[in-house]
Amino acid sequence: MLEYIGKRLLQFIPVFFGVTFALFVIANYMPGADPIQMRYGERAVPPQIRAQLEEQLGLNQPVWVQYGKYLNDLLHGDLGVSNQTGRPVSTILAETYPYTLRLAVFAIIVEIIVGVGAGIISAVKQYSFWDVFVTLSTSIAVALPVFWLGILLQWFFGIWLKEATGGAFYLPISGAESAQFGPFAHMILPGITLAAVSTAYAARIMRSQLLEVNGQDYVRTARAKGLSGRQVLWKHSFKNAMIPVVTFIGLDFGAMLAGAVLTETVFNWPGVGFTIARAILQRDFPIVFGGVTVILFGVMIVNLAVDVSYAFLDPRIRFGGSEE
Amino acid sequence: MHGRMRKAVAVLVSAGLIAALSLSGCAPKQTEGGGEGGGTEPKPGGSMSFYIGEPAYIDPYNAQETEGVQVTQALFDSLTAFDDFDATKVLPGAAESWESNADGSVWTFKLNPNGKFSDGTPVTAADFVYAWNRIANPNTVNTATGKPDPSVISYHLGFIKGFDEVTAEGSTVTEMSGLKAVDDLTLEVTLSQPFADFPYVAAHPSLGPVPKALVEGGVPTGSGETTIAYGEMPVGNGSFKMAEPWKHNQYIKVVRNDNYAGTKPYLDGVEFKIFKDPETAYTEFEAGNLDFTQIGEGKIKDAEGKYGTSEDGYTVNPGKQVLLGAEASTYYIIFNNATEPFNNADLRKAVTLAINRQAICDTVFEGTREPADNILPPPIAGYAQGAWVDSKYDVEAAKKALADAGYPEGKGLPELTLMFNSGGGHEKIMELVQADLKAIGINTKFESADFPVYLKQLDEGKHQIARLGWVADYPIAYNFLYSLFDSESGDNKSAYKNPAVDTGITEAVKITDDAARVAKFQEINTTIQADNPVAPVMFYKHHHVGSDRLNDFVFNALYLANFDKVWVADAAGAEK
Repeated sequence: MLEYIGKRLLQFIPVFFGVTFALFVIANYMPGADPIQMRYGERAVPPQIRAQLEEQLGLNQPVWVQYGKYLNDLLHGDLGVSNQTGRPVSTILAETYPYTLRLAVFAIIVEIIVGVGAGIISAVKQYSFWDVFVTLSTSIAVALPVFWLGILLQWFFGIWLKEATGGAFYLPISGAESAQFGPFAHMILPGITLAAVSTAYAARIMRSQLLEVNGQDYVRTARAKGLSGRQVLWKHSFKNAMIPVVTFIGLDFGAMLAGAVLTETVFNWPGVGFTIARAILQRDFPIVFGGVTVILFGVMIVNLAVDVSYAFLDPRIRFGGSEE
Repeated sequence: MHGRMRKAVAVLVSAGLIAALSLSGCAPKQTEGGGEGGGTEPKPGGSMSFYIGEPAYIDPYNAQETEGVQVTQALFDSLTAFDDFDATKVLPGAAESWESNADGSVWTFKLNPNGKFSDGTPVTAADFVYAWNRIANPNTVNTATGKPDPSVISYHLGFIKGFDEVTAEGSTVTEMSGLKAVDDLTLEVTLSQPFADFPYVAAHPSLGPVPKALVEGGVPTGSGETTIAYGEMPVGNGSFKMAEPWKHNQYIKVVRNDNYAGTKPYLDGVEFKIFKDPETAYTEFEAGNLDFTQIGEGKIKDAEGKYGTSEDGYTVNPGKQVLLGAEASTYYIIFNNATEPFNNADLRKAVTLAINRQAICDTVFEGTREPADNILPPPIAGYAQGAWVDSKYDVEAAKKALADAGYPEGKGLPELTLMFNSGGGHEKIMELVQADLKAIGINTKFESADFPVYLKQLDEGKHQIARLGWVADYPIAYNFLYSLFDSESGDNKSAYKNPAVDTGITEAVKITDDAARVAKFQEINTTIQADNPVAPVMFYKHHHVGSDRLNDFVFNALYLANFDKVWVADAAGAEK
């Protein structure tokens, strides 16, 4: 097992080089890739300043020299400074990443409890009222545009509810914290929005997996042996059904760690997704590279955790060793 | 039976959900907009919140876009100040008086002896010299990183003698020779050429004084041991000061500066709430959590109904809260005057007469833009209605001009290219322009590109017809006429070269009599418009709204809010 984990960690290195180099090439050969003009907007860039800035930002070097410098700085923990604001990229990421992490964890917890829970109940009580309700509502949820749901929630919980209760009860609709509401209250609406579509998927996958497992021979045997429904569910079916669900939730968590641009925009959540998206539009490459590096780490660790969890869920899966 | 009933109920419940979701198109209930308004006495105290996007810099040396400049304006007093309503006036700021020599090439400013930074240190002429050199010097360091980070707004100081030496490539000169602190309260500015409008330049919010000690040593926070970079918590001489360091992407809080030399503001403080998206800001406004913001897309008529419209378009009072005043910016179409086919003046005339500007303003912008009849927008000193005679909709005259150009009914004219930058919302406007041109026989096709690519194409002269917008730095005609039409200007993207205009401008900037100077610029404007080098399309207008807590709140044509005169009725109370 440890050998397996070690090997996977080593695999990260070529992945890292591949992704960052590809990004570097795209960034430099993208048309209009002129970060200096971006600082000036529509105004003309004075020629002497252009020469100076190109020198300072290292933009007049060939691509592979710039890439080498980037790697060298990275090894020394220096992610560079933003082309637009001159602030260190590490500071910008340190400011924004905790918020993205917080929201992602909240959304994943909602997804696990609500999604997996609904899926289980739906499968166990197949064709009941609850099953139909879950199936229909997940079909709708999967088709919902994220920002539309977000705006709807804002209007309902922030405006309508406030008026209906005369200002007594309502939820905050933007930002990460305020004097009135602690940080947790601010997470509710964006968290639900972010989790909505994924929860629907998780519920569906859980339900279909569980139904499939319940049709297997060993489950029938367990029932025949006299085990109660609940024992069969938790001791046998659930763990085996979980593998695709865990895969999905893991991938989803990785995606959320990359930042949720739409949710962050609608709810004004100060996370990393919007920062990177804006940096791309402004050709602010240091932020893009720094952000992507951090995301790579996050996704790699989550994927590794998911793969390792398989060994616990299904004893037939073992890594690195010979078959028993 | 029982199971089937259950299922039916399940379907009904889900259907109900769908119905509820689709009813989301309903508008929220009307809020009470009216109030007592203007008649009551201003009360000190309370605070307000104001929407901005995340600024790039609030350190005045590089405060470049409206949000950065807005914060800088609250924290700093420049030598002079713009008048919110009258572009022909320049008001005293940190300087109580000023005068120039005969041709406007040397300016002497006398500072207010009571001027102080918010930490109590007196403001001296040397602080202005330090601040301005800091802007001009390409090796100025960013206070957060200590690395060189040249200012992009140094062009404001372009006239000062010594500017070229300081900004030359590889230069080691760090101070402009034209700046002199004659004594603590007297600043003498020598320009490299006469420029009678210099007091307007000096009023720009980014040109305030900065305390050298704090810039280089950091700003103490709280207990005095820790310091923070000046750029995160600038200290200035304005009516407000930073309450805490800049909370990036979330807010900037400023409070009243009790060491302020001028009339202290009524408010205790202002919270600049930073939003990524103006739509979210407007939702917060409707929820009652924000005092001033842009109105959401498509909601202006609705907002006017709910909140009432301001009488002068710039002042918010309870019940008259929606602002629609003209801004000092123009949206215009440019021609490539240097190459075929737009080196033909009649063809340019035909195009500008063919555009139905009112239709664009009404259809695309719900009336929040005004058709442009001049390249100068109304808030600029020297604006005259109809100064650009061909900037109007006249299909018959357009057809005649087209024939005069040698292309009767468009015959012989190849398909032309309409260029614009993608993602800026220009498609809808261009579609209408395309239809207008087709109506007189000119066929066009679109070419759009990402903004940086687009600008490059304009610089390389690859365009035939394109579009741009210009926002005034100061409310003077020079800012438009020189920048857009002088043959030396880097912002002149229409390749227009008229020696008479160049000479005219050189002469006009020497005229120290304000009225005569404005008149001369109007003359130059008349000369330019006869050539129709560009086609002004529309003037921008405010589409903003304030809450009913605000009284006497002014948001002027230069997109700057005045926090000095505003007061809130619930002064005793809730900070929102």
